[in-house]
Amino acid sequence: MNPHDPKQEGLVGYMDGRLSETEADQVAASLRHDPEARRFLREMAEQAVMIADLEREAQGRRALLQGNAPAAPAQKGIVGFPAPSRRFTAVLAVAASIAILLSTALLFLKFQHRGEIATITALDGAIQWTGDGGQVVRNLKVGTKLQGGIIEGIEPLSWFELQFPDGTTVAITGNSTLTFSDLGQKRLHLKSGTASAHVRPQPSGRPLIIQTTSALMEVLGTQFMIETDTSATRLDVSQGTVRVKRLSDGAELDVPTRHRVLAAADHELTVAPALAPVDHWTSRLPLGPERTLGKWLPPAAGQDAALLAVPFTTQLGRTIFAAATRVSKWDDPPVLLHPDTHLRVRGRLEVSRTVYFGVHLRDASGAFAGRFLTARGPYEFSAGEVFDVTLPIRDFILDPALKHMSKKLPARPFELTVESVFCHTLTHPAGLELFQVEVIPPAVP
Amino acid sequence: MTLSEHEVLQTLMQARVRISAAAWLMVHDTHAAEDIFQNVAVKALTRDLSFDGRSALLSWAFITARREGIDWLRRHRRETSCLDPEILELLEQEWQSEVVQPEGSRMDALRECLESLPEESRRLLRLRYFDGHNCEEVARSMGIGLNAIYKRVSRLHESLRLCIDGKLERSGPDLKPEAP
Repeated sequence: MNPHDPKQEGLVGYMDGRLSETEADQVAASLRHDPEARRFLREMAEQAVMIADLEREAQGRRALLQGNAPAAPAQKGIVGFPAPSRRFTAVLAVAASIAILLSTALLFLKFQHRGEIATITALDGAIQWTGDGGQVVRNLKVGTKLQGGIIEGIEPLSWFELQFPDGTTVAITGNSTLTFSDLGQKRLHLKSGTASAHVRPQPSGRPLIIQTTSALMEVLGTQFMIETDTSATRLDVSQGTVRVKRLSDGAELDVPTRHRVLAAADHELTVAPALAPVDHWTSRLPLGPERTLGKWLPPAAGQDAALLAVPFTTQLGRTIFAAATRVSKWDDPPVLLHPDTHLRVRGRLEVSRTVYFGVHLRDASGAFAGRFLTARGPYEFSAGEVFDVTLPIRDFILDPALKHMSKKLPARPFELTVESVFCHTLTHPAGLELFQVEVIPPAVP
Repeated sequence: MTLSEHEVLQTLMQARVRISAAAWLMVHDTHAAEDIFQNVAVKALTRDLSFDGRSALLSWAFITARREGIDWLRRHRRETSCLDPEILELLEQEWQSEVVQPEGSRMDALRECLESLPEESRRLLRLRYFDGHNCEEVARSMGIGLNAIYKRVSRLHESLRLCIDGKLERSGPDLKPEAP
């Protein structure tokens, strides 16, 4: 075929669905037998997809620049149709809400690069992003702008927060995998792990969609936390309303403020009030290694069950020997820290080393609220002997590694929920074992 | 060898345009085609699937995109001039076997090629592929006949292909698409 081959016009007409039956048969025959005809059709289809991609980016940029300006250049030329396209309307609607919330000029500067739909606003630990073209980016930092793609926490204690241009924020913690896009409607797919979100009001008819393997959620503007695995999705709504659809049977319900739901095929889909927080908690290591980091050692004759610190390599290339256990799980009430709370840890070290004790915290909406820690010197631990330390939460300070986010995070670990407790001996393989961890409430006067 | 999760992701993202294009051939809507690709990617990651190599993954992805396309047409009660399944399979096989340029480079080349087109040609492509109007609506909007639109669209695609190839060759001449 050459650039002016009439067969190509026939293919355009064929894809337009306007050919007569005879003409369509001729084109179909040509496609069966002529590789060049198929090459042209593949090229046309690929260009169609890429042209739409490029136009989407351009429209988004113009909308960001001009707020809700109805006379955007792209629209001026479009005449003779009853209404702007569905996507363009959505872009304008998004732009209108953005214009109210933020300076459009600033947004344009922030999002002027091709296809960038969100910015990393907080980050701790190693994460990686897989984007267009399959490129994998690991050297992410606060301020990095991302196109849609897949973001993964690749350390047990990883955490990151992503902000969309309308101010909506989404955060994941631990080994979670999140796919995100914004083609006029924000869509998130949480494959596994935990995510929290603070969703700004979304355009009418274009709610933020979150999908997991077991549920689909529609959000217009709210705060909530989701935890998912292969068979169930657990949702806690702290503010607003989230519509949840269970994928196994299509059953739907609305989850209002301070309510929760478990969406799983083998569980009744009902809304329940959020669990009231408690201030006392004891680990249950003898029951198994569920939601722990470390090597679980079952109870044996005369020996308690233990969690042995294991090495993991951080983003900076340091190998740290750590053990951790999840505290506030979905099935149990959230565990709250007060100024007079204490953390008690019973364990053992093979060799005397400084031990760091820490807590991972989240706020009422499920958002990361910092990592606080304290340390005890080697003289407090005799090699091979069981130790039992009680640590005042008042002594815990924000992890110096999070200093760059200190303005964003609480200064003290009070009135926050304990996500997990961890202990480590930094880079020293000191044979740290944990037997029991306890959050002790303030003494009743 | 079974692909790791990262390899699955990379392979799918490298084939994003091709898989979306295959979906577009069915649904004739570029936004729906993009949604279908996303659904394929999510299924590849969230279902308990394993793939013995990139070919197996791509084969599965094209078949899944086709099924998603059929579902989409059913949900939207659209009747399109669906390609014969035999032709679709031929196209998919060719898509799977071809050696492709990195999508980012192709996209950049296309952007430059589009910028060199007259505004009227860009508008035609925008109306057809972004706003999703059929050629008759585009013809009415632009005040020209349907056959002239078919001719222009086909020439635009071919000249864009030549322009993209020229830019990707780098050493070759920087071809500009001709305005039809």
